[in-house]
Amino acid sequence: MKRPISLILCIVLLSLCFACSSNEEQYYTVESTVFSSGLVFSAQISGGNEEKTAEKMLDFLDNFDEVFNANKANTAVSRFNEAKAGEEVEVDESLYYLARQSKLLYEQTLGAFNVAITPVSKAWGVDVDGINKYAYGGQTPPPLPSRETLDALSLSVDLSALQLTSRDGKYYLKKTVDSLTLDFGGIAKGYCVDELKRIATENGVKSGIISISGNLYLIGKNESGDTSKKWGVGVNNPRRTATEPDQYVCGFYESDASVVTSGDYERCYDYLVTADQKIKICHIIDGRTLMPIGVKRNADGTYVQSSDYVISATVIGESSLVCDAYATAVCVLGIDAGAKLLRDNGYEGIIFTADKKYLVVGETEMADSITLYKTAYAQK
Amino acid sequence: MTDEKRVRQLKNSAPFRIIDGIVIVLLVVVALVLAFTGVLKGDEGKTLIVTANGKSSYYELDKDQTITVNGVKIVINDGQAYVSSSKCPDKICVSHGKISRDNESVVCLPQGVVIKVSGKSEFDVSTGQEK
Repeated sequence: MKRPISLILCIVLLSLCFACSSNEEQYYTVESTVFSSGLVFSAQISGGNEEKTAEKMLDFLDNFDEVFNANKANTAVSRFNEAKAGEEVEVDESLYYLARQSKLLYEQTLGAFNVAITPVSKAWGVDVDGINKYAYGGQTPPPLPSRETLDALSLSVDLSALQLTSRDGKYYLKKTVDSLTLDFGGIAKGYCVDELKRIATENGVKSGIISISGNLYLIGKNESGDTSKKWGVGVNNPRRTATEPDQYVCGFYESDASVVTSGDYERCYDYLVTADQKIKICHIIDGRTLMPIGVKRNADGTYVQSSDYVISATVIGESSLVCDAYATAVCVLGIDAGAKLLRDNGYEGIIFTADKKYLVVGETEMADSITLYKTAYAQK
Repeated sequence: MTDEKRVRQLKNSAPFRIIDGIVIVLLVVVALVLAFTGVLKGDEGKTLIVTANGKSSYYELDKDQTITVNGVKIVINDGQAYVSSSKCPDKICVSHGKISRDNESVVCLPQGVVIKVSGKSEFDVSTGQEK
């Protein structure tokens, strides 16, 4: 005890070190590119053996691609797509479930959401190949399809030609029209997020975020720091311009729910109708009119941009699969019918239109810090 | 008389011993390391908050982008933000240099623009960047 100075200095120094170290390391994070289409899966989870849980999640995604990828040879989906009318294709339970859900959502949205739409997407150059060429590759798109071309495709996108049967514990898909093909791209992310969330909670995860390219599931609340609070979600600004370059158009707080956003501003390309007039051709196709959302046809057969269509639809609710389909359906149906679809089925959402209107459906707790949705858009 | 003895012993002892020297050198080394590694400078920022005309906008620092507001051109590049040009007469904001750590800020008084780095993202996650 003769030399307390050194001791005191050491204690002060040690306590400083502890004060500096942060305590926010309680979430285990994982990120990986999944599927051939280059989607990004990421998760931050807390509870149970997180590392093992993350491994199980990645295994699930690998396996999913082997069954569902429509662009890969010899997956169950590509076998169905190549099958002739009347031919029964045996599928596993998960594909059967997804096909059944797709057909139910097709009927419920009156054809607005359609997993057989790919031939029409191809005609507009907004299928995966087309988007890579015309949106990201910078190539000049071919002329837009004529009404005759689209009409000729209407038979192959009629989902009532899909028949589902199960007997003796086995599952079968059958089509009544040769040209019917399925592509679960519009619902697969939602389905996977639901399954990943199930894997997480079954393995003891109490809190976290699961995301496949912005298709989210918020598990529990945010437990980092001292307090437990709802997760904060920023909604990307669908129209970033020089005067409104903001990252987010609005933000909200939510827990134990899935969040999915669809819009016309990703996976789209500009098409020159005349030398000085361009229209936006986006990947969301109206299953009823076979037109991309926001595109109208004049009586003389030329195309123009419509003014009041939905440019961003965020859907919040229990099932990510349903959120995924509804987000697309709201874009197709428009702000009024879209909002009705959400209300009738107990889902919440935030909708923005090209003519600068917004609508919050439900009791979503909006963040005060982001005001762009109120200043740049008028409440509908 | 042991107390008196101890007092005398302390009074007669060397005021500075080797152990003190070691501790002091150690402290100096630690201080220098802390100063040069930037541990005490604050965490790397995540969000840039741009305030102008009574309105705050948020931008992610890990996305390279250029924002122009009130004639002030703000560049986010490689996790750092700086004012690249400004219509103001004094150009103090331009000469300020780059900011990237929590709570660092650049102010352009003539144009009424404040940019500030925040260590916390405004939100935990974003939606709508589907690709």
